[in-house]
Amino acid sequence: MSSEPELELEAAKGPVRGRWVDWTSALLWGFPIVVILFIVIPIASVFLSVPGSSVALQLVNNDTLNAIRLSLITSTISLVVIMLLGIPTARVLTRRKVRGIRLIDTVIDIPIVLPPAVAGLALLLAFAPRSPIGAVLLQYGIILPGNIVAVVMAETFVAMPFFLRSARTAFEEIDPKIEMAASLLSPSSFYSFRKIVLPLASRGLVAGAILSWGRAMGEFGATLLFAENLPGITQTMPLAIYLDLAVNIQQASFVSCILIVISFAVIIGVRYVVGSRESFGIRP
Amino acid sequence: MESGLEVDGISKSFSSKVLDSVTFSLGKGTVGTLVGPSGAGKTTMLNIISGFIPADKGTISIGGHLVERAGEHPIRVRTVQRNVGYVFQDHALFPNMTVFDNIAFGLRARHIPEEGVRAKVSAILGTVGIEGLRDRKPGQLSGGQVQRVAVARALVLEPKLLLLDEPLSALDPQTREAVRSEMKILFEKVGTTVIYVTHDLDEAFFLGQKIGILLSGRLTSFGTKKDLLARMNPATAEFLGFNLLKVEPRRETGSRCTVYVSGWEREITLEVLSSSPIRIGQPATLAVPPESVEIRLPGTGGDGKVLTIREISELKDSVLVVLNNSGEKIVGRVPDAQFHSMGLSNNQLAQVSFTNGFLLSTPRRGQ
Repeated sequence: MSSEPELELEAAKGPVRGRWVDWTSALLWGFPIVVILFIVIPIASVFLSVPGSSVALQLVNNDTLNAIRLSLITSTISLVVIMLLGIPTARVLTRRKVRGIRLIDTVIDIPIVLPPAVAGLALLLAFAPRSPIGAVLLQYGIILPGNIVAVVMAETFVAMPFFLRSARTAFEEIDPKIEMAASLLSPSSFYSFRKIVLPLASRGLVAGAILSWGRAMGEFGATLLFAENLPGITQTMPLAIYLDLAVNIQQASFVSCILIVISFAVIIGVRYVVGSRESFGIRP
Repeated sequence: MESGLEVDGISKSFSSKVLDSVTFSLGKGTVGTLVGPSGAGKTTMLNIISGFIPADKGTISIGGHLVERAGEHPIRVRTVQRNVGYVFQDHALFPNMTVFDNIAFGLRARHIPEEGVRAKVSAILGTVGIEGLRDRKPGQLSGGQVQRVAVARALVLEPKLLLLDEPLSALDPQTREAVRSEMKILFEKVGTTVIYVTHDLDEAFFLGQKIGILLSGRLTSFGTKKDLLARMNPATAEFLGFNLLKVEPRRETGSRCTVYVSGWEREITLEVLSSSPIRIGQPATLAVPPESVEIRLPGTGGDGKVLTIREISELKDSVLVVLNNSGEKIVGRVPDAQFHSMGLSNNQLAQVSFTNGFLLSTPRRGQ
């Protein structure tokens, strides 16, 4: 009696060798395979275009090292700025009845959808010496374009929304009753924030930080337009790739490989952090 | 008697009126329970007392200190300064901290030296009986244990007032009964003024020295069980599950009264429980507890009315019988053996009378 349902279940699992083939299921699997190949083939091409290790070592010239160093420094400074501004901003916008919250949300999200070249142009028009703000800065001898500060500003501009989104979600996921309990027990709201809110939101904050750092590392368009492409001064890794493409494609591939490895590390980092959220008893 | 809590004319509206001129007071160390159905305004009342939301009207004093005054010259003492302990319905323990750290949180936030923290937390762990759980995280605790930790966390700061919002609602019946008894002992031991909110009548009467019945934002009754029964009113009687009938008192003999039941077109005699004066010849409402409904086989004598049984529900030690009274229902609760000896079943006729009930004067128009 019980064997019939078992057979049905077995059939439902997918194609059974030697009996019949579930063509619908096989076709459906075709879609993810196409998607995966579409991503993997270009990435593999980059790795395959890099020559052997001895030649690769020769590709590590001063400009490459400077670009790597500059990318790491500027993206890390951007991340610090993003977190210092982003944590209080996300906190203020969470569970507060702020008038025009939708407008604020839209403004915060603009850099996500804005083409990076437009972002760069916008920053240039706002802060270049000919602009009102740039003119004031010029009086103090500060010219942002062609300056490392401009790189940090461009990276912060494009990467900030990724952190804000993640931070807001992390704060919103905390049970409001927990915050009420903390406010009843602690005379200092900062103490409650430090001991309860921040630890409970930490996983989301770290995930947001990794994402925005990764975005800052890969920033190209806004940096090129606003900070220019000056080797050793404003040339980050993506800009180095752009410049190398014209003269030495192997060099470009080599720097690209480094960025791909960093991207992988970012994704694995986010997966690990987000995946372990339940250990705090927070709603996934 | 020293004042524990005074709530005077508290009103609150959101999109509609949630609390309407709620007034009651509790002496220091008294356990008061607020009972009512969901949406009656119980949690809103606690949130106003604790200071989480402001009142629209009225005043609140805790331990003789005015903490809330709505209106022209408002006063709003900060939540943390009201010295109130709060046990939330879902307990809201801090999931990132151990039991010990949860309880110690309020003490550490007040910069009490760590030695003092350890002593106070150990003492309260002992009082609540959870010494063995100090290093566990909330996720590793059972429902009853979580509830005890939440109470310990609220009590460690020695609050003047302890508020509990349906703390046992998530527990299974056995644990619930056990924790309820422990709570009663604990309240006596710590001697704090307590407001305990529940929708369970048995819990309210078991724990409360004073019981308030909150219905649609209005406190229809407040007092001891004796007060409540003595000052019974139709709204409270309906919430308590009493049968309400329109009657007219005809004759009074000692504690017994003969009333004419409208709709039955006949008189019945029963013992009157309420202390309010009986107005002979004036319309009144008779409130009869289900336990006071007498069900007999038809034609066995006595007064009453023959009605059709609509529904029979077997309970643990009694039978709940619902009878059709001209479209309205009369609910009787009869001991198991007594009901089954009659062999009655659904759609059969049964003679119904009442042994006792509350005679409530019906307010005249404009009253």
